[in-house]
Amino acid sequence: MTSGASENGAQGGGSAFTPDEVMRYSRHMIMGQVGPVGQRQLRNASVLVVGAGGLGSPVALYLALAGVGRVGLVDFDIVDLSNLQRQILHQTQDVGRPKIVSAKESLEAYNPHVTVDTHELPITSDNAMEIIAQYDIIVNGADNFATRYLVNDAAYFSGKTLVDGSILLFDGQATVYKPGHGCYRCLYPAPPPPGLVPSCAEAGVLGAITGIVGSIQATEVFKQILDIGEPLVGRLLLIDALTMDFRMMKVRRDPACPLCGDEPSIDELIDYDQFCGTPPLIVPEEVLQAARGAPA
Amino acid sequence: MPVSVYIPSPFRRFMANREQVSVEGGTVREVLDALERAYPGFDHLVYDSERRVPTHINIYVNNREIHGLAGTETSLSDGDQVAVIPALAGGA
Repeated sequence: MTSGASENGAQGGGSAFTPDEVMRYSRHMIMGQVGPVGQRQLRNASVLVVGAGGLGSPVALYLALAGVGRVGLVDFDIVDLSNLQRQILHQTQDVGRPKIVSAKESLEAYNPHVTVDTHELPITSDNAMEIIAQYDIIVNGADNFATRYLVNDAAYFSGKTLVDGSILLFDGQATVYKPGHGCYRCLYPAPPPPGLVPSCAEAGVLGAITGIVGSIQATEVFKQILDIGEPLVGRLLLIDALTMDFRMMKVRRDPACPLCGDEPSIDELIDYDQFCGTPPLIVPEEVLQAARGAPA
Repeated sequence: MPVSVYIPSPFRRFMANREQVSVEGGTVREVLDALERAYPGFDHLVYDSERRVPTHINIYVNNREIHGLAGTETSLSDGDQVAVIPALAGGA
């Protein structure tokens, strides 16, 4: 690639890419669908990843590698040895450390040009709108239904695109919700009764399926930022790792949806533990103390 | 008429670990009934206590969710593909 204002992304204002950045992102910038202008769009973008675990790890990693300018992470969990079978942002020496800390260190080690914002606290009805407002695109890597409905509702109220993914055993699901084109409640109006659908901790999950689904989520984020391709809006991708079949289901906005339907009945965030019938989240006191002192 | 039903991995332990099951049925309801006969206990996966399909389960016919069709009374044709898909919460 030759040097120059248009080639190194200086056009459109802002600082030009350094030679290091041009080399780092060259395999993206050489593609017509990205180019220097697209690479600048990535650098100017901000993406919130909810959860720094199985899905959040590959999503955040690929966002950082690609040079997405600001990556936000929300998590308050501690790295456990059982996480290391799939959560690629954390390593053996991180066991016992806050995930948010090891995740930030990993991302910054992979790409020092990106800013990693950390929100070491549980995302709740009290803080979700404030956190989500700080980002362009939201990625859901939550591990429970209550958080999934919370993030869905907050993203909708904020007018933000939500890139959704979920996993269990050998299966994965991925889709993209854009306000006005359906939401998680259109697809699954209410959660299952507590205990009916097991969690990954209860039933297990293939480590590599998190990489497949997380990579798809990251890809959808790139497409949103770059405005290229055909997004997973209105479509639900089902992935079966055992058969390696990918199925594409049609998803429609439900006019009767209580959130985004024609006559919505939900106009603010609710108590999602009550909605899902799950016990309130018990957050360690040290995490609460840290959260109180941290900017939301 | 034979209809092929896709069983996702969370449900397979109730279905002899099969990912595809072929059963007879002219409607979605008949197919679900046939699955219960073949795999007793299947009802508990796809029906609530009032024998309605709960909202965390989506049933697709040829990749279209049945609420946009005729629900469990959706008619099926020979060779139709049915899929019974639950919401997944996992992310960690």
